Amino acid sequence: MYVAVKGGEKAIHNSVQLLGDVRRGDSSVPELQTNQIEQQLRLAVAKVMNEGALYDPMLASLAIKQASGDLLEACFLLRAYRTTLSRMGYSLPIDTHGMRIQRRISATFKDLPGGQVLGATYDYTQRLLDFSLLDKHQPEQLELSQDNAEAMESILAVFDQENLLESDLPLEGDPDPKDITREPIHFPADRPTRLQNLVRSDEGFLLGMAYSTQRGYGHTHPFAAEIRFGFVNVVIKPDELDFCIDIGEIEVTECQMINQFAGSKDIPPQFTRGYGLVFGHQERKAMAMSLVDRSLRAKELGESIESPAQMEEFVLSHSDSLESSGFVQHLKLPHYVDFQSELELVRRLRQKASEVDHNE
Amino acid sequence: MSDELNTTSSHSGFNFAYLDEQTKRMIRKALLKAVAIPGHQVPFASKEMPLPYGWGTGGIQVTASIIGRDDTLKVIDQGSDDTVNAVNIRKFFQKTTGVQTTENTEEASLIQTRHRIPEFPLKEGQIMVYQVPVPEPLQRLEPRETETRKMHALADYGLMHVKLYEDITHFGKITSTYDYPVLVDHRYLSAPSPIPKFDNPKLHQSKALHLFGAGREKRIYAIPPYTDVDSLGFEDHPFELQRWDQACALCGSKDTFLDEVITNDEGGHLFVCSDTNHCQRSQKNGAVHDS
Amino acid sequence: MSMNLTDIFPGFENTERESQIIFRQVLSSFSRPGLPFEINPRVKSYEADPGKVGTSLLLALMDTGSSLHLPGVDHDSALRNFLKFHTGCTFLNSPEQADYIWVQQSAHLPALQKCALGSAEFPEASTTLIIDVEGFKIDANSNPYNPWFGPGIYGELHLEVLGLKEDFWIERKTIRPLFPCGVDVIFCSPTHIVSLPRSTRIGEEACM
Repeated sequence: MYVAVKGGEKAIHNSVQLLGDVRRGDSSVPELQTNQIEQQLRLAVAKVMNEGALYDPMLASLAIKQASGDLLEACFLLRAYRTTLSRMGYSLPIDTHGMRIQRRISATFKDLPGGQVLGATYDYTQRLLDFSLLDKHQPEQLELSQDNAEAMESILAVFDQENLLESDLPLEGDPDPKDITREPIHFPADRPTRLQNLVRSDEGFLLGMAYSTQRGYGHTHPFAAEIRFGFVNVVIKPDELDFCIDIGEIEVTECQMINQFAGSKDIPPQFTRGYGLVFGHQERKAMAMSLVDRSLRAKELGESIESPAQMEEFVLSHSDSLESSGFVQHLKLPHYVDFQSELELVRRLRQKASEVDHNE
Repeated sequence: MSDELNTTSSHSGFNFAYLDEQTKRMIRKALLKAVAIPGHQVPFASKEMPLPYGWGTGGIQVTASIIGRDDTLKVIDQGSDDTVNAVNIRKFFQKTTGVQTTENTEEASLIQTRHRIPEFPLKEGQIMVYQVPVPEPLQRLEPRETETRKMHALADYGLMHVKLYEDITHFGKITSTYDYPVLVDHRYLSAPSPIPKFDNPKLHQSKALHLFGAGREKRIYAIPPYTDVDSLGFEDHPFELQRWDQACALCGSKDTFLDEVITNDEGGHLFVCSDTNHCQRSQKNGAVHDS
Repeated sequence: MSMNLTDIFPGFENTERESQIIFRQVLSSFSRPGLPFEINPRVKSYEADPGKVGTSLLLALMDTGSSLHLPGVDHDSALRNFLKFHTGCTFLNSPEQADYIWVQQSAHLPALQKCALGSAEFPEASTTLIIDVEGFKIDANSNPYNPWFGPGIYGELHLEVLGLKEDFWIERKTIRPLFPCGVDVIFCSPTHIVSLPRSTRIGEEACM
């Protein structure tokens, strides 16, 4: 006799217990500490802070530990935590011109004031697995001073003197940007709104979209004018006080792409910009963001919209990993009622079709 | 604003029903406008919740914005109180509100549902909250919101009529069996959420208030009580209800929505009520058991 | 704006709890146009204030992004300071873009066409108009602005709103064809509210 299955609650409880066990792994192996993640997996921490939309390396490390290293799951944890935080106010815009540089390169100029500062990057390594990392080892004490970090003028300010590059001006009237976490996006969306969406977008998705623009699905010929990574100060100016207060510093990566532009009947030929800005050290993401930013400016620059990376609604509606992951994975939820309806329909249609066959 | 500090629930360290006060107000504002314009999708700034987008965050945010200490909450998924999704969501609200919960439809003041309307007739004062994956009924025909917004503004639903007509031409009938589009108050085309079309008539001139939350797509809409809700059809191919030849194997019901259960590896199957609470009560009232 | 914080009256005893209770009454009221719903608590914005329904509604519903137009109320009144402090709302001098308008005296009722009516694509971007009235008479057949019918109304109902100038009904009839654009109205007696959302038909032909 069929008895309806009950016990969903117990099943969930057991699953969660099991997860805790599996996450810990072999208990003879030392437990992972969040400060180890923060120090030694800093690029994972950067990604999680950025797509989790919350700058807090300790919390991001905790999320990574809790998520067993699933970075999208960790982003979700951080975003959900962010929702519970009360909002004190807004800082002043960060000043990336005044960034204390840890790394600064330009592909458009062989040399530039301040020089090419390579910093610490995987770019110049050879991708050979280093088996010596399997053992613990004492690192050499390097003589390099961390105090090298100093401000450098942006190359674009210098380049701009010939007026070959479009100005980077705010929108007319310099309105406050919309906060996409407080108001839903409407299409068509202005550039500040689009950029907000792109900052927190999934790196993989954005990378694919950016790549497509380089392969003919878009018209831009991009050059990396400048990529910089370093420390910027966060400054607030409370209503009650008449002066600014420095509340700390964060690390950001900024990418300025310049693109060839043939001009239109209204605008003379000049170079146009694409911009990327992210928390932490994430050049790939900042670069992808700047390519897609430029691509989405197609309408404003009078370019015909033919490729997915130029389609604002397509890009911005599918860029958030929480949304895409949630909806793709929701297919695991019970759908037997909808399926039942479909079953019933297909059976009837087949029955009807076979009746027709008989009659022929 | 010292009384903001009184808001934390002693259970979990979070605000009552998890959401902060400003978010609740933002959602409540959207709900009121939604009720004033039946069937129209009102955009709202959906928040990340502890469950993923696509798993009911819209319904959860609506419930969290309206629930009060006096409410009695029922949560169902596919008609059952016991599926993992329903259990998870019910636990979430128990943890963040301490509110009374129930499996009995007529005891609930608030019912959050995924994909079904309970069989037991709803009454005045009850509120249904629907988890909606795709709030835009035209999305599969036209994915661009810039276009569908214009269609709703002009009440231009030709695209949908053409789709239904094409179904009839190809298959001899309209093939939508769930999330069957409805016209609300003779004006807005709406998606009733993936409830089976069997449940559509329950929306028409209902005694209860029906609120729809789509978290991932960031839309809220509503059908007030005593509102005309018409499932689309044509004069010569009117809207048809689903029927089964079988009865429920547990309670013998012939007029409820039935789920199919595979019972052995030879494709044996039987049918049981989707609404588990209704089925259990019918059984208690002395209906027939199948053995 | 300078305000002496000691002059500002406390709002709700428990903001979260009381706002939710009031909101539910408003939600029920929008769902059942024409039916009266009691509003409790009724908070005071200054010493002599008996505790108005309108104040409590605004305190319960507005968020920091809300804009409010208060026709006939002084800029440095106790009421404005109270609402500004407790809700963080912004004040507007005219009705055109107001999220909320509270009319405490009939003479100050703005022309409905001047309020924010929304657009065909965004009809929700429109004013919620709160109007103080003397009271309600249910099943009253006396006034011509009846019957009410439409969403939320079982069959039809007859209601007289006391202390409301007739201009209101005439203007509402004029803007009704603009649906889905329009305003949503909450009438406040000293103790109860009755809502008139834009979806309600008054004295019209049964629609199709």
